[in-house]
Amino acid sequence: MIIQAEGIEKDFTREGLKDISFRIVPGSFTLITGESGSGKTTLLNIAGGMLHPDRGRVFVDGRDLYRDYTRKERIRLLGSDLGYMMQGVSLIPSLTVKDNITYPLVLTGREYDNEKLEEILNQLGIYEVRDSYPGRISGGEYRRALLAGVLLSEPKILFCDEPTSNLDSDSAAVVTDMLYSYVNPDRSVVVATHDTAFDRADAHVELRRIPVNGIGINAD
Amino acid sequence: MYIDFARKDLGAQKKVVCLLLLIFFTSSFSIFAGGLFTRGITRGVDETVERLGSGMIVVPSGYDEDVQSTLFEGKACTIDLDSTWTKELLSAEGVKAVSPQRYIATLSAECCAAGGIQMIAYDPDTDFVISRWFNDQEIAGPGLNEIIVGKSTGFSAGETVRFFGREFLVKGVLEETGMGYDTSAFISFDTAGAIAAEDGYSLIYPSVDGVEQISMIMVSVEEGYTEESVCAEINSLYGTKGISAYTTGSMVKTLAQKLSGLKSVFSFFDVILVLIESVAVFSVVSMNMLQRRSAIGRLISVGVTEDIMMRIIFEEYMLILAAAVTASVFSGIMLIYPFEGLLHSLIDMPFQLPGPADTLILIGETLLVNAAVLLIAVLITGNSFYKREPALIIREDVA
Repeated sequence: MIIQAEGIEKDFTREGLKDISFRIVPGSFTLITGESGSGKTTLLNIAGGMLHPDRGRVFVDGRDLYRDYTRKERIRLLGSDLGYMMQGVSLIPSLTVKDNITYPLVLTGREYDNEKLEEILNQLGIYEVRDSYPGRISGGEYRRALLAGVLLSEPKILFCDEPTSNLDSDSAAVVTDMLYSYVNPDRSVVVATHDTAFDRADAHVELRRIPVNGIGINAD
Repeated sequence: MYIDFARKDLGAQKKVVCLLLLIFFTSSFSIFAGGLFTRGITRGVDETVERLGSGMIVVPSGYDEDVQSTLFEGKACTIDLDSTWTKELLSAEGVKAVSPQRYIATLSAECCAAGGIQMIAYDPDTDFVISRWFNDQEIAGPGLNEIIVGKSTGFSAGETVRFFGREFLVKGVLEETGMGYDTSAFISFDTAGAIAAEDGYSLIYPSVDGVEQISMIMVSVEEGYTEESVCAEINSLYGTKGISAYTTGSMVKTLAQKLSGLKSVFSFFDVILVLIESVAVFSVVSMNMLQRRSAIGRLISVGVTEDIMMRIIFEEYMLILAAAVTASVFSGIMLIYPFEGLLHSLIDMPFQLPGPADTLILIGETLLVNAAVLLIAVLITGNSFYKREPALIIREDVA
């Protein structure tokens, strides 16, 4: 699966995205970096089908994500070919970690492999807390549980927004390793971060803060 | 499985659950209890119309309200009317048959097993109203020292009860009528005469100047005549001589008017209540969805579409609604059914609680009204919520 972004622009009150183009190909690890407020999350949202760009287009295997897909189809795509570990989302407090991970699949009538689930939980080091409630696990475990929920559907392109933020170094290392190891010839990963632990990438989009009415391109 | 998830999810939102339970309970209870009440009166009035049938009632002038309160509310009274009117009326044009009745209020004293019961003496040979009811229940008319009692008197068939110093065998119990007959007891004129013949009880069936005193006369009309025309004829002939004729329809019409007014009042309050409920439910649902936006956002980000989200949220609230309706129905039944008699005595109208089928329909309506309010609130809130870009549902400052 290939994602091609062309001339993406998005205006916000203070900052915006200007003429961003990039391409995500299978087997690649792409980093989106930049200072706070430079639009990393916005760009990820646009590439992940969660936010219309003001200008520009995003193609998924040649189909325009915002013109050829309905809103419902875009969301469905997120649970199948695309995976998105967003910031600011939360688990359902009344469900166990395991139920939180499997609940979306149950709701959408998708099967999941229990062995695969256990493997992911083990890899992320949260197998022991699978039956705990989100309120009773650490912040690091919480973030890893969110990642596990995205990984279970084995997306072809995985978007992660600040996957290591607020994690201790051990947890961050687990997540970083997991994301690097997720890449294979059919799968690619896009990470928006300012964590220097992500020191390897096949492609790098660096964003700079620019005023909305300014002139220039904010990506290198 | 969804239900299990929904139940667990609700467990973590105790404040919202309590708030919605309170709103739904208040609304459901008002609709259900109010519905039981108005349907009880409607059923009572319908039963009254059916039991009285078409015909007329002739009473001493000025006693029409007493008769109405006796017939419809079960208030005991004693009314005297010369029995000679029976023959007189029979000779009036259009009158097919007449049947006298004597109303005697029982006394709460040593002489009587219960006070406040309306004793009705009637003539089983000429009667064309009460006998029909007994025949339907296969109860033969009461013989000497036999009595047939109304449902609310508390007596049972086969037992012996004491009235006016005399033992009566309860021959049967009239099924519930919702009318004054529920607190009445029926005896024959022969029995009334026998009681009156004893010392101290002459007022039960008195004679004034050698004329036996009855209370009212039921009149049926010949074919080719209308009740209204015969009624007008009787009133023009005898109105000045101390009697008045009323069609049963005109007596029931007053009831129907009262019922209609009562229903309007209840409907008005129901509408107001549902409007208030709608605003309250809408506010709670909006607030709750905002509180849950990060969890909802996460589900969207892993492919759970908005229609599924809306369905889950609606199902969760429906669980609360079902619990509230169950509690309100239980409370309504516990509050109204045991006090049917008290309610009847307070409302001055015929009253008969709805049967199981009607009650089930009422429960269904209660659930439906609340579910509709809930569905609209969820749809409106959901639509305004999901109108935003998926990323903006989670956070506004996505830059």
